[in-house]
Amino acid sequence: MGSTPEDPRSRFYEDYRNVAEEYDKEFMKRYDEDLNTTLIFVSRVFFSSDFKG
Amino acid sequence: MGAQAGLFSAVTSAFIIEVNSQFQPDPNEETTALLRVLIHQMNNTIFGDHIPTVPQRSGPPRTIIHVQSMLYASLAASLFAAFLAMLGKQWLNRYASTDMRGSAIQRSQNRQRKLNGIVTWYFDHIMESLPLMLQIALLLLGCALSNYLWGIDVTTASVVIGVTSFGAISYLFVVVAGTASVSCPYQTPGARILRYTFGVLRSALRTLFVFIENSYLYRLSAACLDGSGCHWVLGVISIVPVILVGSSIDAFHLGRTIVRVLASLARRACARFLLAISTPAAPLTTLDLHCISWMLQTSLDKDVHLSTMEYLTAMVALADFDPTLVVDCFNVFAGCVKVINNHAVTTQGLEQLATTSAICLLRTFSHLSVMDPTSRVLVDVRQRYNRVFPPWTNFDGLPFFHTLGSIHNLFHSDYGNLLFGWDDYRPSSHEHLTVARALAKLAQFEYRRRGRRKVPRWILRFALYTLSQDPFPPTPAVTDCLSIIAIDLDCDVSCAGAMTLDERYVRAL
Repeated sequence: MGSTPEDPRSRFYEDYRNVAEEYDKEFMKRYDEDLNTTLIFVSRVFFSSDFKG
Repeated sequence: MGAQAGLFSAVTSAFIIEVNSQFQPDPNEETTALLRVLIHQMNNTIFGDHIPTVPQRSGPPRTIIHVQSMLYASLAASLFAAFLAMLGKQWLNRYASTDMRGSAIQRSQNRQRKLNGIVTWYFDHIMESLPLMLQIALLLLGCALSNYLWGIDVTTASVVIGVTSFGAISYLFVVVAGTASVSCPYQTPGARILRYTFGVLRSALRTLFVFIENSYLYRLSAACLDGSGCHWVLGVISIVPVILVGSSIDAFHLGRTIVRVLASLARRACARFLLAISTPAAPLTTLDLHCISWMLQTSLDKDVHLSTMEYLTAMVALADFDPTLVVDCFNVFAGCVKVINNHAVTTQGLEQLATTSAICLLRTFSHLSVMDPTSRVLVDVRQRYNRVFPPWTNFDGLPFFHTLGSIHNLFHSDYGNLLFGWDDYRPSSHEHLTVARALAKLAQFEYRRRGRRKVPRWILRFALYTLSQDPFPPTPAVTDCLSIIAIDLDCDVSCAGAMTLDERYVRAL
């Protein structure tokens, strides 16, 4: 980055990390729960535990 | 959990086993028939007139085949959904893990790279399609059940059909409600797709109407009908060649438009794909700009905005960025400034953010004007600006008066310019560099836009003011000001890649 003062950059990335952490937690939670719902639905409705071909 | 499992269990699979028994020849049936024949051989009178025979099996009945195909399709769809869900969990874990060593900044950039990938490769859409697959599987199951029961008993079948169609209709209602209102809690993937389709359809219809209004057939026949006040027979006779000529011209235009649209679609798809597969090679500056863009769109915190904007001004050179960054800058800026009685006022406590974001707006806008002069974002920002700040807005007494005056003149260049002098402009040396670079780019853009006549006077005045300062401004600023003057004198200033200042040279035309 050549002559860029390091200060604004590291300050920005510190903020970035905080925002990203919060965002990613939300993001992961949402999709993980969606996927769990799908998996539970499939396993309950379409396949029984005593499924024997 | 066990009781629930028993409640829901094995709808499809159990049903498949049940129907499957009719798929194969029943051995009991054959044994019984053979026994009947044997008994008949021993005692001819036992069955009366009826002579038993061994039935010839001619494959399963057609209904059973249909039912079985639907059931297996349902099973396959649900299996596929489960497969994707399993993969999706793995992908999510891969996204969340910091699988890279390096400094905090490098890890943040890596995270942004992964997030860009999620957007570029439509991860959201894939995840949203899982429930859709399950819904299709359920619908297939209902249809198969109804079809199967119809052959056995009509009463039972009608109950099942009634419930299935009730479910389908309520689902349809839910989709329609979700499409009609965004705030409706019953949102489904189908509603999302429908809303998108409606948007596309509406714009397509609008294009069609514009096309019809501009078509030769429409205009010529309208002119013909207007002009022929004498007799309707004459009007009809004169309209025949008009229809022939007009429709052939229109057919030509339509064909050309269709070919052009298809070509541009193909080109865009290709470009998108190439962009998607070349993303890992994005240079660090571009990645930084992606981070900045994402921060401005995600966070609403003013302190975060301020640190982001300060970093954006501190960056030495701008690379390719997402054009929406200009809009983001404008939104932040507009969030700090209010217009009361045609007088612009900064919100209390946000003066610094307003100043910084004004510089960022000027910088990103000028950069985009040079990189992509035909971008739609430029038009969009211009419209947004005109809505918030009308041409007669007064900016006196604001700390960022000069930057804002430049932006204002830029966006209202058709209205005559806001008159202001640069005499009291005392920027920091870094700001001066940024503004000079932005104005040099804008001079080039405006000069081309105005048909190679003149550079706007206020930009020229900035150049003259800068060059007349006593402690001479930094060299890059001087180069930029000289470039502005050169452009005004009708010289071709070639910015080598628009980035490297030192390689710039002037060629007199």
